[in-house]
Amino acid sequence: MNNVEKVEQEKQEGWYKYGMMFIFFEALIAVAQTIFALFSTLSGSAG
Amino acid sequence: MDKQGTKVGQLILAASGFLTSFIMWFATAAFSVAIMQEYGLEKAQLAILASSAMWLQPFFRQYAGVVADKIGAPKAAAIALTYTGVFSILSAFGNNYTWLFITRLVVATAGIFFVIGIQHVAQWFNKQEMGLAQGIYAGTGNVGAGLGALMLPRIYGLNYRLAFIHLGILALVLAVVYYRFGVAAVDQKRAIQAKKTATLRDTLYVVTRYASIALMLQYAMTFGLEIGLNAWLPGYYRLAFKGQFEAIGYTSLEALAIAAGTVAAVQSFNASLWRPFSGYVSDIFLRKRWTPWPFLTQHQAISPRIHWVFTAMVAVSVMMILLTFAGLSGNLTLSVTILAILGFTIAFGTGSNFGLTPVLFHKNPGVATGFIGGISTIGGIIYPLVFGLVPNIHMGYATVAVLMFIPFMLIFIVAFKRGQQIDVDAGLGTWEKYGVAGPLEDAKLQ
Repeated sequence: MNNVEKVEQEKQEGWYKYGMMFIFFEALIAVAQTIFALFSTLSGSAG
Repeated sequence: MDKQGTKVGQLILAASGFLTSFIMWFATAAFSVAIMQEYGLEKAQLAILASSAMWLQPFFRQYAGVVADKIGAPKAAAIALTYTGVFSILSAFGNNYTWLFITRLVVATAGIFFVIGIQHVAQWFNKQEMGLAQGIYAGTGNVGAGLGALMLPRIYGLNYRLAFIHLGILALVLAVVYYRFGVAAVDQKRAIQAKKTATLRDTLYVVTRYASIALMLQYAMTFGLEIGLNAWLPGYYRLAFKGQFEAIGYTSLEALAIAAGTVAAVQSFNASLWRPFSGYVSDIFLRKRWTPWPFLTQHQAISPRIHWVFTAMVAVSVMMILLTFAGLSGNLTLSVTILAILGFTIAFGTGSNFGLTPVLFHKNPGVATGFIGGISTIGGIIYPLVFGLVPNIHMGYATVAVLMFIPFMLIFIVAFKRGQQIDVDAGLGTWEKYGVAGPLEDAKLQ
């Protein structure tokens, strides 16, 4: 890691890592919803 | 509470307000079947009611941005939540369609909260965190549209009146909380700076800058597309894949509508939920100094965020063309898979834009956000019209990509071209001519 990156990262505060956890949680919901929509529709159970 | 706690608290406050506002904005659509049944509406009337949710957005969002800069986000948010909450309650007590239509038209202006919250978050987070912070704010709020459509009919059945009352009360409570605990900016200096520049002259100056126009068009091809597709896709899948749905077993009109709605929601969920991820990627581009496009600005601090915005524009255009090919192939699974990826790339676009806009226009965050987030919603009205006018129902996506998105990208390239400093003041006329206090020059990030 070069000095510039170090400085940039230091400027991010503690909340940032929780923010990252949150976005992965949201992304997981998006993937699950996509799989659910495809599976339920194609299996004939959506209607 | 310490400064960091306050900062995260302000983000939670903004996201909660936006989520509530978005649920209210699209609550009418969630109860369209009940409303149609009660008032005996024709399909055309229902379409007008659905599209009316967009009518006031372009103007009101622009104005909301100026107000947020002028009086601070907490007061602006409290006002927005109060009047939309009151009208949501009032909409439950009418006994004729005209009353319902007018009151819901006012409630639909809840969509302006987007601009207020973006301004609020921009006033609290630093440049290195802006992408993720704005992504979390907007991504969480946008989920309100899908959440409302999914949950409201399950909780309230056909009793839309009770739902409108409860949502109105929720908005009023949140208005009080926002007013009590909201703080306009991380420090007085920022708040005063935004207040000073919230004039008509400043607004006219900002909206005539090439950078703001390019970013507005970028947002029109992402968020505008997202809301346009929300309206268009259920009908598209019902008509274009009718044979395939019937072969699976969806023969009644109701079953067909639910199945088509289920696959159409894939776009909405992906476009909303991946948005914070895009903000995070924008932060990574900045940290790693990634500048993959040789024709765009390279060496300024903000350049990597611009490259991520453009990457998203390319990805959206490619996926729109692929959605046309998937439709022409008649393969439902392929079409829905491409649709999910399109939603993913739309999230790239919306998230990347607001990792950049508040940084570039940090002197006028509300004004710039109001313009970019407001005028771009016109896309949500235009795209479904184009999709519907093209003779082959599948060809609309590629048509929009080629005839609209490619020109938008060219404008973006011109606004942020390689070989010169980013000049946010470049545009139609100079700052002296507009009579504003000074240029946006300190946003020329070296």
